[in-house]
Amino acid sequence: MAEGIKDKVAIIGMGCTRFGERWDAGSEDLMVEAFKEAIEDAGIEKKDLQAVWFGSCMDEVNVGKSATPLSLALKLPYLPVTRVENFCATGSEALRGAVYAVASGAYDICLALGSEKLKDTGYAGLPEFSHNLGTKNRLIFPNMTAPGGFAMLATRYFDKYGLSPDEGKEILAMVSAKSHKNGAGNPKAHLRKEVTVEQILKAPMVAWPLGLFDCCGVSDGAAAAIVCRADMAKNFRPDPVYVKSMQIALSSGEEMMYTDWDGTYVKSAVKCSARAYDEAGIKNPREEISMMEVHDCFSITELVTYEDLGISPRGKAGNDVRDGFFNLDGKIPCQPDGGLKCFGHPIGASGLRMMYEMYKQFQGKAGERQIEDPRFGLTHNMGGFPAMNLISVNIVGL
Amino acid sequence: MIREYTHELNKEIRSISGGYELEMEGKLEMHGKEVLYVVGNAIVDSSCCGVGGCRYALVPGYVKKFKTRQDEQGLWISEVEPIIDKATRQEITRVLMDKEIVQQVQFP
Amino acid sequence: MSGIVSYGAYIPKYRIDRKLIYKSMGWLNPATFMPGEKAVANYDEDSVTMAVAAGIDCLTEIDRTGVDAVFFATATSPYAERQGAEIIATALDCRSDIRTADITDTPKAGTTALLSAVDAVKAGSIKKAMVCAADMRVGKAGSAQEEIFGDGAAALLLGENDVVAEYAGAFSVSYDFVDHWRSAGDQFDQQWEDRFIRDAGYTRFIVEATEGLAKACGIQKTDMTQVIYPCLYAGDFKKIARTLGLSASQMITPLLGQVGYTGTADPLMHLVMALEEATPGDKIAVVGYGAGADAVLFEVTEEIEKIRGKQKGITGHLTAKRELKSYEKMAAFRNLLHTEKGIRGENVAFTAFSTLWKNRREVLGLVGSFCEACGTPQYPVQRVCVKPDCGAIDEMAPYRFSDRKGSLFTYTGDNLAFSPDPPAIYGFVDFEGGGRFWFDVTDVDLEEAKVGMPVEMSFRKKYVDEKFGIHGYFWKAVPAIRRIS
Repeated sequence: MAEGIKDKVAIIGMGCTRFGERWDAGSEDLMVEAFKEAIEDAGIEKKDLQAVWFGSCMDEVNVGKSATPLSLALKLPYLPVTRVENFCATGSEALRGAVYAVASGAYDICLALGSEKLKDTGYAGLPEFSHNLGTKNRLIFPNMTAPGGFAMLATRYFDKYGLSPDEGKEILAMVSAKSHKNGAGNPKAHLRKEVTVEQILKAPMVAWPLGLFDCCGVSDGAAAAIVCRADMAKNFRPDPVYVKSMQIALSSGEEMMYTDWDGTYVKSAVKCSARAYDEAGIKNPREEISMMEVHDCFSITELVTYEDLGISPRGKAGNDVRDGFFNLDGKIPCQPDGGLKCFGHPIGASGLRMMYEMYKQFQGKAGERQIEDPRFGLTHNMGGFPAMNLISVNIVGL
Repeated sequence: MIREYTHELNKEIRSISGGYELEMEGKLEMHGKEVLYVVGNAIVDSSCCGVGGCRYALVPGYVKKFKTRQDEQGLWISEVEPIIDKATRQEITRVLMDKEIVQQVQFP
Repeated sequence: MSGIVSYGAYIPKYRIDRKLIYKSMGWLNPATFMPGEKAVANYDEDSVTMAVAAGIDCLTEIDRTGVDAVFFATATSPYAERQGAEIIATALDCRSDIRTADITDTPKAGTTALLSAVDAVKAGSIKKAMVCAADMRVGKAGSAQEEIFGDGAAALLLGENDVVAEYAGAFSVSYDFVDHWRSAGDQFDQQWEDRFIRDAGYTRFIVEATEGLAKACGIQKTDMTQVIYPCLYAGDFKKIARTLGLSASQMITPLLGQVGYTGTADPLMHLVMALEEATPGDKIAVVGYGAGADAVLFEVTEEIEKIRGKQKGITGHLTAKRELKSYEKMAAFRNLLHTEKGIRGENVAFTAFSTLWKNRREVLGLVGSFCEACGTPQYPVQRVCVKPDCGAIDEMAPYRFSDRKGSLFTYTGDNLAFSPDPPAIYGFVDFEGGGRFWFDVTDVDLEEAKVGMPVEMSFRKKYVDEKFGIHGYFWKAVPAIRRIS
């Protein structure tokens, strides 16, 4: 009888580079930077590692294929190293590989490292989608971008819940302003400036109805985690963080090709979080979750995720936003490190960067951003578009 | 409905993917009322999916009380009435696109 | 009896006021002024896409499996080698055991294609033949051609049953009269002096062909209810009528001032316009001009009342307008300006033709699947049913979406995605009867788009890979245009 992952694996070390336009660093530099911090934090040596998971998404513009880029950069001694990719949830997917490997009992200690160098393309952005959607899809998919793909979610959400574009944009602005405030004091963030709601509303449209500050940007960065069997964890440190749940859910095709979905939420997030809460033994997320890092590639994603995670009631997340429910001093602080808005989105690294913040919070090392006595931390990592996506929900605790 | 508008020009407001700067303010007359507008330039040069940006205008609304007080940072604040009527918005958009050669007109 | 069974047309939505062209370029050649407006194909249109649009209009409520031939008349095909008629036939979802032909190289090709189709039907070798004529002629900046050329298409279905306009005879003259020429690989048409064209050709061949037509059909010119011929020069247009002894009622009002001169499509578009108003018994002569002239006579039958109003035709498209407010945009659309697309915009992924071959009906014809187990239409083609409770494998039948109406489920206006006419608008379409997919949306301003807006599907140029010379086609959603009735 399958038991799930709860309390089988612990995180004993993590590292995270400074995220930003790292003109000074290549892919190797980022990997080594994250790795060094993780190894020192765990207090182990390289030879203690038994298997490695490497997350890198846009290999064609940074490292190239296979796991050899990581193996060579770190001079790993003929270890099993697996490269994984699952759109923007690649980072969480790498962690999942390492965690499941340890939970299987086949290994004691594993490393997960996600790294992405996106600033060497020459055109400030990801490769145009027609190149990485497959030979058939490029003939029939619209000429779209990620902001546009998520903007469509906002169009439907405003329409269904009777929000005028002005009202909707104001709620979204509050979501972003909150993250920028948190990121302002975070030395590892790319952008460390507070931005007010009014300043956000004065920015132009990027993909209607999303404006400049509703969209995250491109950055370079890497993050790493070292995991081991739960019953060994206290040998390494007094304050390991335990994995309570790791779930992933992928779209079935219904959103895109069948007319049931009403376009105002992310279906896989609903299903994924339900399974995650079940696995972790959480009955009432609004009461039990202490803090979250969600995939705020776009402010609308974050807003809708509050509802998809079963925390805000359907259509009413705006009320929670206005009440400051998700602020750093609110009931469930969300994006305490500033999120994708302040870190940018080096795809392979983001999922692990989210976990890094949860990890540091549990250990009391979050400085000005410290949340008191957290019980359960949740990371939510999304890849793809609302109509065609994958969601990773991970819950950790003490 | 009255809202406050903070006058802040010539300051670059940045996000990771880009930034904007409001450059000049103006007023135009519409049906006997004074409309406040601001012109800015934006550049989106590090977003995930392309390069963009534009010269654009914002229309906070009809002027009710112009520069009536200052905030803690010394910035002037006006009281404005946001323009809701669709036909008026379309007319202002047409006038501003022609007068100020902007690509977008927003009514925040 | 053989003749016209149905008709259709297409006029691009963008219209530009000719004064705007003259304002922008009149400083160069001040003699080029022309009044009125003209139709400008959008950046995502070309002769092939316009021909498909006219063809779909013509085939409204007609079983497409009955089409045995497709003739495509154009002098501006995007490809010198890749048959336009076959792209059109696939887009119209015709059978594969049909005859296809491109008839080209002169504006007379429109009527020539019509005659080829009529002759094939008369001979009994083809039961139903589709004729699509379209042109997207480009004039150099500041030229008279730039003012006069307009974009458009017409389509006629020829057959033996339910004929609405019976074929009554034809007469052709052919001359290697080089008034215009364009070498293979050249972008622009060149011409000899206007006086030569008017006096030695235009005012002669049309007269010669029409006289010959009257004789061949054993009728008087006064018996012709209408005589349709292209208007290339306003004064000489009237001179031809005088020479033929036509009365005012026999003359058409040319679409020159609303659409422009549309080359191969021109005589057929005016024929469609005439048929929209015709009464049974009318004898309509249509003359195509170029390398000589073809004159063809049709007699309208009682059946015309039965099909009236089913199509959008000329009348429906004339009023579906969108103002093109920028000369520079028109110049950019027609590649008269080298525009900055950016490294990302220029980097088009290579077309896998083997993928396109496997999926040609799906991509070019917008044919998806219908699950026979649960009755759910779905696009793209699926082997595993998308309906959650169903999931049946391999129980699908082909299901065409191209002629289905839909509504815009959601959309956005994207300022980042590269578009020759920003913002790039795209969204999801929910189809009447079932099915949903995401598409680019075109021919609409962002402010007009609304959740729930009625849309229909339009065959468009989805991308151009300039490096490899590939024009990629697919379907986009456009605001639904009402039919005439």
